[in-house]
Amino acid sequence: LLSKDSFLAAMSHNLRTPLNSIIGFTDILLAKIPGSLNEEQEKQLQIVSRCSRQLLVLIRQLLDVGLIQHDKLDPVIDNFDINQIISNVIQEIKPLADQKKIELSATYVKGQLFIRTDKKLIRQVIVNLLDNAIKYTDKGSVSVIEEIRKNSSGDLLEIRVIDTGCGIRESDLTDIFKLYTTVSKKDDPYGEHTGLGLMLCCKYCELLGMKLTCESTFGKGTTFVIHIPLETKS
Amino acid sequence: MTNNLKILLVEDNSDNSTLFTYLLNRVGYTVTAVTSSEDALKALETLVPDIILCDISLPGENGHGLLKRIRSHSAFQNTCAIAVSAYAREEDKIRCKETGYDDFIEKPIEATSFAQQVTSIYERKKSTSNRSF
Repeated sequence: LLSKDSFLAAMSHNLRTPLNSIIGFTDILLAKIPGSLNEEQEKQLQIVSRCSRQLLVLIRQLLDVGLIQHDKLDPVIDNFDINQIISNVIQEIKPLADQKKIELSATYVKGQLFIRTDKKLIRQVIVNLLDNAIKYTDKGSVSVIEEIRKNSSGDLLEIRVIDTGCGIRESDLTDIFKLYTTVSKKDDPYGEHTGLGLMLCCKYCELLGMKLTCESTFGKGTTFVIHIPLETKS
Repeated sequence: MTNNLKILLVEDNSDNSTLFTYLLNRVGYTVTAVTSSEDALKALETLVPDIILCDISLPGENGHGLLKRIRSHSAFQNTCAIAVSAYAREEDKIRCKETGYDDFIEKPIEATSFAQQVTSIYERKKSTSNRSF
């Protein structure tokens, strides 16, 4: 019998193998390498591309759940500009906001802001929070706002992801970071969620020595805050 | 892009093999594609590739066993070897390095930059290796 994490790794491999061809050939067609596309073909291929990447995210999440449950997820620490990461994510996710006619913006504290953490994991947290914010907002805006706060143990960077969406009921707020939890079905027009995303965001933050918190007013909007301790310059 | 590189591709999934071959052919590289460890060793009796691009999960002997056998031949000790695998955990990447792969490319690949990625790994190996290959 396979252990649970070996099973998850094997499943992830078997799902990624055909996805490699689906994503690869779709990207080749979208890059118009074999020839031009008409508007409709391009639109439909973009849907294939988006859906296959969603599937890839889900596979990564499943694998990470297994690793987290076995304390096997090891962060890879790097020094990088967090503003560049946020800016890239905003560019990547902007078509989703445009489709829903939602304003998407980011306010940075300064030009470059270097932090030491796992680039992939923090990026995944930001992608996930923005993706959720856009999904649950039908009109208004989604914004990312950075702020540096000083406290007794040093500077703290707060990255706020703020939406003007449907909000979360107070009774649901305590459970949103738990595995397999989604908000009450009646409040969720997108009933297909696994509850993996926010749980993983919270776990990634814990693993990286950060904190993820949420404030929400039902019917008015939600704010997620990533609290990142900044290293004191030596 | 470095011209006319010869690549031995070891990939048991025919769709992925078609994808990699297409992307490498279009930048002018010659690809010899095989589907198993055994066929790879057979191909190496006559072929001296610039790059060995190898899937890890293969029928029979896997990509780790295959590279160990390839590296045991003096002619291939410094050949650029790249693992391309859908096993993408950190421990999988570390194991590939320990086996002797020069680098690891995760599946799904980025199709538009794949050939450039392969070339960069080859160029890096070439610049750090004592052997002129």
